Amino acid sequence: MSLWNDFLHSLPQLLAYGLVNAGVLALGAVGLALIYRIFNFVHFAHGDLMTLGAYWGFLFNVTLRLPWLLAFVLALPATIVCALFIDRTFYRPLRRQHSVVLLISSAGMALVLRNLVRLFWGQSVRSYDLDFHRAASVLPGVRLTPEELVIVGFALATALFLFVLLRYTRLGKALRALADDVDLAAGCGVSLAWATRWTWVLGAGLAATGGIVLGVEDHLLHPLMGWNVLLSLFAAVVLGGLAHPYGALLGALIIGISQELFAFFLPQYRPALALVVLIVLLLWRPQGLLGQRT
Amino acid sequence: MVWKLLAVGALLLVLNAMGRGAFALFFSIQAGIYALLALGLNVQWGYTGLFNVGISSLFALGAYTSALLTKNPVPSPGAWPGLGLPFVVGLVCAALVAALAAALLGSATLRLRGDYLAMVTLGAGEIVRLLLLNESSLTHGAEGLRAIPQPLHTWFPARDYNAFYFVVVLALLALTFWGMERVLRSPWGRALRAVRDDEEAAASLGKNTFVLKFQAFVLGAALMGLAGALYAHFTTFISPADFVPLQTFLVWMMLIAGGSGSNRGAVVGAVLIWGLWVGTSVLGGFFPSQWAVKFSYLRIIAVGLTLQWMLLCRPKGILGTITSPSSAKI
Amino acid sequence: MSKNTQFIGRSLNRRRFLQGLGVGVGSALLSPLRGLAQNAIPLGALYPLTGAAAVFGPKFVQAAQLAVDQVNAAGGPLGRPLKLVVKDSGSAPQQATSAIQELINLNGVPAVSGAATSFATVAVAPIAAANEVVLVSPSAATTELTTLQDDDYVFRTFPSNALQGVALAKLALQEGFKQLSVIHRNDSFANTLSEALIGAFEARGGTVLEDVAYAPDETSFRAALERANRGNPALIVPIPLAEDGNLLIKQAFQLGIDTLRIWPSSIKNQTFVDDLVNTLGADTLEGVKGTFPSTPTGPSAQRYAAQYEAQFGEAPTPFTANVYDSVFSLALAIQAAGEASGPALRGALRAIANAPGQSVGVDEFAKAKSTLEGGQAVQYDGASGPVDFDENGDVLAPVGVYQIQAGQIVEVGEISIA
Repeated sequence: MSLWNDFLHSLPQLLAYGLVNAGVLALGAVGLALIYRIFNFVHFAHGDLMTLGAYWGFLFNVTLRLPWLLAFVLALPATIVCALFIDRTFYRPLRRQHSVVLLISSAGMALVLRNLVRLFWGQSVRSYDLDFHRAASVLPGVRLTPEELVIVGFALATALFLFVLLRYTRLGKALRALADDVDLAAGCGVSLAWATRWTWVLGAGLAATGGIVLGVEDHLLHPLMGWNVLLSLFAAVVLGGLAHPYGALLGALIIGISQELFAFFLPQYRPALALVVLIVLLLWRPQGLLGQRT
Repeated sequence: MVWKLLAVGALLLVLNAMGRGAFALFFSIQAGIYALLALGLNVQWGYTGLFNVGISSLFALGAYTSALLTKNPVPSPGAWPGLGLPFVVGLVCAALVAALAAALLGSATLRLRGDYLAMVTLGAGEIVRLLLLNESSLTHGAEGLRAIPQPLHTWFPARDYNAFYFVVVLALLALTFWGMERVLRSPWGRALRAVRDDEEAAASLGKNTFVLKFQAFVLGAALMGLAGALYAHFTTFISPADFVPLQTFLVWMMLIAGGSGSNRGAVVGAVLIWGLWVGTSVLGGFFPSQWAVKFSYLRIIAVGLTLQWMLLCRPKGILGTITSPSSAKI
Repeated sequence: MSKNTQFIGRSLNRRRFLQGLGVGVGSALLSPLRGLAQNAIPLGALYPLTGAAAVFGPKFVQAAQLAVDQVNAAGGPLGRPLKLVVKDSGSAPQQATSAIQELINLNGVPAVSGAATSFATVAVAPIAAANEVVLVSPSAATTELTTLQDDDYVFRTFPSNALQGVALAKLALQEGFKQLSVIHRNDSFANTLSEALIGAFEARGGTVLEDVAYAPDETSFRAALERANRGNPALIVPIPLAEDGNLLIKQAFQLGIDTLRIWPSSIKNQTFVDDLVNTLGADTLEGVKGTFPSTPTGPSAQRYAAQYEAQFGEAPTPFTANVYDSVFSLALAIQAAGEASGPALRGALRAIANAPGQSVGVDEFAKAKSTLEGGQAVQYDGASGPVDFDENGDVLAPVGVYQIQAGQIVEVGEISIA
């Protein structure tokens, strides 16, 4: 019963877990990529924004005892408002600075958000008021809980939503134009303030959704939950490349699945894969898989 | 500056002789260690503009290296064996190992722009922590290393040992400060600052920017490793959980508060920020214990917000003089 | 504009330097003044208010305070009131080491009750020893404390894993399990208990299939559980602390692994069980058994239980009796030693705890005081057991078995260690 045999035997299950993982990463990565494309800085607080979203969900679901669907839906605008406030107060004044300054600021915000969560909800693990389910067989060799299935479905829905948004709506077109060339877009009448707001709405909304999804999948919330996936999000974004709007999705898919496969052999080093991928990419193809070399 | 340091040092020793200095010495040793970290970051960031999010991991590597090299090879049962080498060897190797790690990471990533270095140093920091935690056959994992030997411990009675250790830390700090000041004024130092201010211009003038960045990164890392070793021998117990992102943060803040690019600023900033940090902790001691926990989170939030305030109000504290245009799109 | 900023910057710098210096010097001068108001004797308490064992922390504080209040009601040791200084030992060793440094340097304590978790105790023990401060842990079970080079400054009122490990092994065999796997937290407590368990189990003819360790701050146990489940053992013994134990058992349930049926003492806690019953249902836990240092039934222990209940309105939670004993015996030691200093207390602890001497129990500080003042010895018989410190500072205790019945923890007997 060698390790390799075990691995092959578990492969379908691992791929399924990989899809679930990819779903979570996708939600965070798309937001991160969007913020990077529009504001041109690496948002180090993105993971903790996911954490914040998850805990807003907790507040509505457990503290205020709202049904989970309503609670989760309410968590989104709550997080978005926070993100807009942070941008307005801390990031906007620094926008003319070197992007490293914004990076530091966002790293500082990450620390603040994480400890605000600890201040109000403590360091201990919490969980949503959801029923507990055992994993059931969905395909031969694959057992998933109903929550995990929902997550996969959700991630697909998000991808679809993004597609529709970018392709068919005014907002999507404006964002794509801005990402390509700010002055030209502004010249064509795209309001920068409007676009800023919507970038955060999308970015923070997706992050909050990602955080909630993470909380549901693991059936637990803790203050470091978002920070722990930050590295994987970076890898996903860089892997996908920033030129193409779906890059982050592709990156999340690849990182998500390969992390699960890798974790079979070295479970304690899960984040290591993301780092290795990141370094290899940066050396070999920094524009990512879908990008063009500029 | 060096004279100011020595004067303060003398004052503290006098206080200790009077029997009143225990806490001040304890504080000063830690402040000195952080000052070394800040000086290291200053080389990387203040002089060269390299953004390091993984300071705590270099700190950890230095601490573990020195601990493992100097611990007793035939320890008491349950303790982890080391190589029993002298303290000085531990210090030097700590600096070397941290430098080596930086060299490995830097060789792969210093060619790329700052954001990517930040991401990668974050990742590297994570990996180092995981390695220290999981390679227990080498590091004793989560249980950590205890009974780390203190140099010349038997020469001093227990109560006076800290005074001696303080002198050691102060001496190393003064030496490092003097050295870094020399570096700052040297041609190499000027070249580093040219790279920081405008890498493209520096390159067009014929400077090998990659080699310069690499050297600065490695030198800064060596200082951080040294600080780590001093930390290990001071606390006599280290474990992977001791090395957290908050430390990296505090060091950034120290440099920003003091004004990066300036060694004096690094040391002053270290004393200041560490003073505020410990001061707020002492303040927290007045609260009943349940509230003390919440208070500790408030402290960290205050740290983060103070950082924001510094960024908003003292942009000069960040990167000396930045002449390259902003690359923000909006 | 830049000139102004620079000017402000420089003078701001100087002012802040002086401020920082002031803080440092000020605290240096003030530090000896703290904790000495009204001639009180400060006693350190290092308990887990946050972190993996936080579910025990607040109760420990209560038990310690009960002991202090009773001692002070009888006039206090040497006629001076005891003052409990509580600090959080936290979730990582560094918090504990910082906390004990503060207790020693800032509050000037001669002794500390704590730490509660093994990982924290092992970290702070050398610091206590180096600073000549007595440490009495109420709940650290790691075998490392027995052999620690601590200059005899470290004691505990809780038995070592060496005993519990044997008990767990014997319980498993008694329940008919010839094979087992272990999944344990990677820290001093769980590593040593796992070693003791495996050693004892194999020595009695059992087979151990897998021994899996997980990182202390782990929240996703899927990989570890699947690894522990290889070979389909009939029994998987979890050795967690309360917080990770909660997640571990829930995730095992999610994966369909039902074999975590024998538990150690670290999760013998009704709050812990209540939460699991809430989430997973009482029948998933029905019949689960575990071992723990058993609660004595003598008059001293009963008095403790009654008084704890009277003061706090609830039955004492596990291990609070050991906390009480750690504080009470320190108070007795101070009285016997005639001074509140570490080196003196070190010698006095065994004298007041072990035979010979007049027996004193819970809440009998006045009686002990007058006996000691009269030049006689005392022998403390505590809330958690006879509290006799051996040459390593350890205590012995019989091991009991508990079982979860209809969601309640019920103590069902003892198990011999022979």
